Amino acid sequence: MLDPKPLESLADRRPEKRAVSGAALRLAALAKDYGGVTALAPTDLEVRPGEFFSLIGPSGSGKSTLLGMVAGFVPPSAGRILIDGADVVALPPYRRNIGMVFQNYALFPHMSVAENIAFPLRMRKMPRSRIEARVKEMLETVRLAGFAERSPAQLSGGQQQRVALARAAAYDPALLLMDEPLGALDKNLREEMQYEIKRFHSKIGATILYVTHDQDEAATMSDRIAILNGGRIVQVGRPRELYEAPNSPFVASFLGEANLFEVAAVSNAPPMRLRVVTREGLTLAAHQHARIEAGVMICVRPEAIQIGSSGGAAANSVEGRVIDVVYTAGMLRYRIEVMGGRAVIVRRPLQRQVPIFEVGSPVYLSWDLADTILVPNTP
Amino acid sequence: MAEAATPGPGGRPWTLYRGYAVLLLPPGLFLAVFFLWPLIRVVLRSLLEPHPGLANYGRVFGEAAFARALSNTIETAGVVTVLCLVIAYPLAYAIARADGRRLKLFMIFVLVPLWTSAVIRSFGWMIVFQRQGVLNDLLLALGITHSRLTLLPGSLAVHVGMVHIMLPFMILPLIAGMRGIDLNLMRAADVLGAPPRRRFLEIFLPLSLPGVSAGVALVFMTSLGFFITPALLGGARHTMAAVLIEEEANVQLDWPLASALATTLLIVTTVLYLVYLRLMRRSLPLIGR
Amino acid sequence: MTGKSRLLARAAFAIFVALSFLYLMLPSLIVVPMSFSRLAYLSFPPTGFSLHWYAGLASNAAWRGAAANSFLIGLPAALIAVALGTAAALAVERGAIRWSMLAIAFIVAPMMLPHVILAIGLYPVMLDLGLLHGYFGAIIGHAVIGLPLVFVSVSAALRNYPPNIELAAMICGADRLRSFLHVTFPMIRMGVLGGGILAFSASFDELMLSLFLTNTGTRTLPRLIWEQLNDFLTPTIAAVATLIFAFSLLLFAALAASGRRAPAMASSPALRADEATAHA
Repeated sequence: MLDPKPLESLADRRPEKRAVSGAALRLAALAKDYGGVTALAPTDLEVRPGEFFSLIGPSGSGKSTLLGMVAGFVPPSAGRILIDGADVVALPPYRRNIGMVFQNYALFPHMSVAENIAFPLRMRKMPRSRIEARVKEMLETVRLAGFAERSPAQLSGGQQQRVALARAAAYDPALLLMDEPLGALDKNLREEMQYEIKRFHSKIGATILYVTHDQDEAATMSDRIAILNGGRIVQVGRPRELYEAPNSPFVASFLGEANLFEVAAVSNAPPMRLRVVTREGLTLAAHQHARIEAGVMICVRPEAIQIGSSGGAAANSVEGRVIDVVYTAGMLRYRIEVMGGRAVIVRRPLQRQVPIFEVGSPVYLSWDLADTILVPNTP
Repeated sequence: MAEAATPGPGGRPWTLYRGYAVLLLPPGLFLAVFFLWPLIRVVLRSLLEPHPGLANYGRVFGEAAFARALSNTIETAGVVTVLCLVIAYPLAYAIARADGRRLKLFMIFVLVPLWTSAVIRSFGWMIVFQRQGVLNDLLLALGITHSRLTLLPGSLAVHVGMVHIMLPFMILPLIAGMRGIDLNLMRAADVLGAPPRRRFLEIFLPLSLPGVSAGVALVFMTSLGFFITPALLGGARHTMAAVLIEEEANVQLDWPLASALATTLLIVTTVLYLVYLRLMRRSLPLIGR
Repeated sequence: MTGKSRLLARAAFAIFVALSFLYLMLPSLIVVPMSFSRLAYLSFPPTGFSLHWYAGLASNAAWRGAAANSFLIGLPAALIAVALGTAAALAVERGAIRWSMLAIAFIVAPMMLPHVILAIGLYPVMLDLGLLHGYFGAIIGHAVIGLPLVFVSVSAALRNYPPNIELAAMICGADRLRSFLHVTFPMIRMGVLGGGILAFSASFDELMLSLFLTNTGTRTLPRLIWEQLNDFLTPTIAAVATLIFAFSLLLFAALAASGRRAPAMASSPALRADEATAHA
């Protein structure tokens, strides 16, 4: 689940010193289809120098195809890939000067840790003494100084991942691709590695294009995120923007939990307010919104909803009954039945002074005007 | 990034798998000249010599001796395949369930014969089946027979020798199939109350069938082309197609007829080979010799 | 089932398994002791112990010549098969070859076809090329037989590790050649070696092509044994057979070792069984 807290992305803490300046990546009408099946519809995207940019989406949404095309493993059907303004589509991966971290690390099993990190440097014909110094430096950066002579098989998953990072960054590529690099790690290690990668990013300063299907991970680490679905990018923005202003029900429910209501009628209700009647017959209030004519849906985040035994003065107040309540780490998660038999999810922090409502109790749900989010009803 | 200096827009996308086809050229050419062309020559020769027409095939299917040899070939291959399956299935079951050192030992029992040359193995069977041989000694000693039997050359020896050679080729695909069966399915059946016999018949057996069909196709196809075993152990009493072809070419020097026989064998084998490939689908074909 | 009848069934099954294994080992168990027999005719069990037949072998020019020919033909044939089979496996496994199933079917076909058909087809071809009865003709013929074995072995090796290791090499800056030399080849070298051993052993055992493509000067061991077997049975053949058997076991052990040395990457039981069959 997505808590509001990590949305203050780590990326906001800007580092002072960076080893390289990241590359600008621009995709222009980039597309891929496999024998008539569209893997990626023509896509435009701009990733700024030094940015930590994530692609997220369900499997089959085209994010891996997009990454594969940037790396050079998947030939595009159409379009251009510009790295610092130069089209690289015709270049092989070994001449794109990109770094990449693979899902299963893809370390060379017949080489030691040091040899793995030295490999891209050898391919670049760097003199031996400089290679040695660089490998040592990289090992220190990823905190594996004592592991130079180990073979990858002797390392834990997290350590292998750090070697893969060191190898990918050893030659100071201006663009680093990461393909679900934490997918194979268990939850605790994954969280630790998220910080490790962020620390790494701020140190090396390369632009990072990061693929994951984990929205928490993306939200924690990214400057910006592109959400893909069905072979196209559906929304691009900072994590908080995406969360607070999703442009489709898909984005609203993909990023965190959402109570979505279909809208039956909308009318203006001064001052600067909207009166919305949902299909269930709930009457809700929202801020005046520019685009109301198109079909819209209402999204209310579970943690924006207050729960009480009597209706308050809030802009929105809905009567309901507790169907069930579960305890999760630090949170209470209610399901409340409201008008029309509709279940609404409510999440409240588990604090001593907060009353707990038993199953069956009648309750009032209330939330602010700003928390009634209007979502364009596009697929 | 300086080195990545720019091929302008419109450059053909670099493609990972492009260019590998060139590697197919040398082996393709080699096989075209020394494999495909020879086969084509065999077919052409059977049709064009001594006169263009189907005269050679008329003899192959018309003359009793040839027709008998061909039907005998198919019959022998069939019997060998059935015998192999009957012996191999329980054996593969035992091997598939073994593990550790026992599995290693069992695999050695299966693989060592594979590595023993066919000529040598036939030689071994000659010692067993000859008039003064081990089998006759045994039969006499046990009082089953009262005089020495002439088993060589003969059908019994051919079958024993051929089954011996083909058995590993049946066992290995069976093991591959059986080891792929998720043992949890058997445990689930156990928990659900299936008695061992039903558990075997309704779960294990159906799941092992792909291995069976691959093994059957492989053994039958390979058996059709047997030469050494029937030639050494079967003699004139048990002639098979390959023996006949070699004899027509090398002894009778009737190459057009040998070619017609070979073409017939080629067609049958090719059909079976295609069936076999179909059965194997995406996984690699097994190896036979 | 009662406990007793279940025990009985188990015993019967164990006996069946044991007898089957005995059957599989029988020819070797008979041939080897024969070679140490003191008598000139083949009766089992052999009488006495003597190395007489081995001594006879060593001094016999025909056997020595045939043994030398087996190597002179088998080694180059295996080398050609390794080069061509590896190239074919790389092309099929790494290139998006159109009609790849057809290509595989064609490459593997020599392994599946009765050798006699190939033999009578190669005879006139070699005659035209002036290679009949010479070493080159036999080497080429045996390379045709060995190529599919290398192909299958190397293909299995190429499938046995994740292809993104090669992609990693490329993104690290290695072009196709260097990623092959530094990464692909080290990963598949045991598969290549294994395929080479298979190809050599196929040539070492091959009879039919030798019958058609060699003469008394270039004949291989199987052909000489064959000629002798059609003549009369002597313990000399048993001695040769024993030596060949021992040598084959050596090759088998080498192959098993090469299989074990291959990087122990995620290999499923099914894959391992496939490998076992590839080593057949």
